Amino acid sequence: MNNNNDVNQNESRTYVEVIGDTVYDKHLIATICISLIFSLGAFLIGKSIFPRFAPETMVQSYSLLLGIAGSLVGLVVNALLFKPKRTLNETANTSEELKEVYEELQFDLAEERVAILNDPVLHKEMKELGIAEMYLAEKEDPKN
Amino acid sequence: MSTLMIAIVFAIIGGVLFTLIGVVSGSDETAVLVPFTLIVVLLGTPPEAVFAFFMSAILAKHLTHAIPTALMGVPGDTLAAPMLEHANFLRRIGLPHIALRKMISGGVIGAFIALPISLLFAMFLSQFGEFFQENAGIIFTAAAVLIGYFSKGRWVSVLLILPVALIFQGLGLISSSILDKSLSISFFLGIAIGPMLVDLLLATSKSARPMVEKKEMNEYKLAPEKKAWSGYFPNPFKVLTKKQAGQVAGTSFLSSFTFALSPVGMTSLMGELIGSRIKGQYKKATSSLATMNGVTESTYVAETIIPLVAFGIPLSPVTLGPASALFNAPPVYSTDPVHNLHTMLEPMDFFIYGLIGLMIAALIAYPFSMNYARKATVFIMKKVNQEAIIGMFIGIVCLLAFYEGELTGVLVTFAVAVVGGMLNRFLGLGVGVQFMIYYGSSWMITTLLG
Repeated sequence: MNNNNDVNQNESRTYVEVIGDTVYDKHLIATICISLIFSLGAFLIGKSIFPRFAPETMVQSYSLLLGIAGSLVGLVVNALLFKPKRTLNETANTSEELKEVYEELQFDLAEERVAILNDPVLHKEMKELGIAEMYLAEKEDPKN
Repeated sequence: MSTLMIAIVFAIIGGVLFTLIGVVSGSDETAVLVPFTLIVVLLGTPPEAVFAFFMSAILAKHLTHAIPTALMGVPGDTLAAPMLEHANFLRRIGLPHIALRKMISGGVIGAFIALPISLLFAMFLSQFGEFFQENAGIIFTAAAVLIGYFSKGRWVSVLLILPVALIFQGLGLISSSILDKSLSISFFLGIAIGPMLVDLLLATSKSARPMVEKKEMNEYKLAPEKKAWSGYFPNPFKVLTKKQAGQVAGTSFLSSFTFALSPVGMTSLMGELIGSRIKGQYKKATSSLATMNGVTESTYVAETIIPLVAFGIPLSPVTLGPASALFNAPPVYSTDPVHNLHTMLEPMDFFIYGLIGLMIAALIAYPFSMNYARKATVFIMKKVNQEAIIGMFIGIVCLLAFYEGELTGVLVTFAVAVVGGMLNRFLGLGVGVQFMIYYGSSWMITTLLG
């Protein structure tokens, strides 16, 4: 890490993986603090104001409910404060790629075609979904 | 409001809440179901509504967990992991939407088959209920040994049972001497969030940080939308071929009798059973996915209902983790003496309110997944950061622990999460085994040490 604490320099940032997704640690500390302040804060406020107008047996439950509401507010605040640390890549597939995928996974495309043609139910389903062509359009010589 | 109305309202809350949670990838069932079910119970909700809420939550979760699994190739939760391989194949050839449709249609069918079948089986088993309750301590200890041996850790899990039991009892003793009451919610939550907390701790520690450090952001690939289907509520029997519907029904029926096996194991097994005999990759993948997601749901329903109706003590992997709050949520429910849904509801109530929960979840999550899966995924990916989600869970967990035992409760949760999480991550002592140890710990320590 370089020492010029410039958070805008994305190159100098490292991320931490927590339950399967990348996060930036300073932001995480901030979100946890905000969430705790909202949830426990709301709970404690509830404990101090509900005894004035709620039956004594319900004070704990009402305060808990207020705490949950607080944590939801915290979630919204946190979601607005920070940007997600993930990139989304939207790519399309074509029928040429179908062949590549099959080769890479070592499945036999010719066998697949035979299986489709021998199974009227399956063939019909694929036609309805508009994917039969992808499989059957380009007739290849079946491999021996 | 009548009980029926309250149950419907809570089933709607459960369905909506867990439809949204399901879209978030990696939202582990135990970590999300335990806190929310506890909240519902502690608010004094009638038992009928608690059950309807839970049933609705698990179905909604297991329909929407198919969204990240199919569209992005990341498991939605623990049970989605076995489905990744087939889902990835379909995603690679540009058909993620078909993987998704097959999965959720299987899930809906599986749930509705499992409810009546597992309930009938539970009624048959209930004659042995008293025996189980009287010997709960021994049974949990034996189960801890068994589950431990078959978990990732093998012998080390068995070896750790007594030391961990001693730690739990010790923490329990200290906290009860401070608070004059014994804690249990704090223990549950600690076990449930252990794995998440360990990730955070590793990141905080200078020496361990490289283990969780990443130079780059995660990249997710999302296939573009292909073609919408007509209508708002597609018929699951039209999405699946007759044969596939039959396969889902058969495997769901079989798995409705299981209450001691791991749901992930059952899911893989049944998927393999169906898939291995099919020629052609496309058909193999679609049939396996429908079957597997049917089984994720049927095992969850069966493993919840059988111990709940027959014994009143949590004796299955699901009731030890995600469903534990239905058995034990002091001061409302307890397992010793048995005072929980088992004693409060009749089998008929379980059927009616379970059905309400499943129907409402199906009405919410099924059309949502069919029509808005991709939009929801893009929204979450682009708008909601992971930090906010983790923050919310930590906030809710601290809130519940504080509610039970103020600062002591929070510290106990933290201590249990550190110990349990580390043992889970580095030695393979699973969450299920930890719950078993917790339940058996008082019997173990009093019997062995007097």
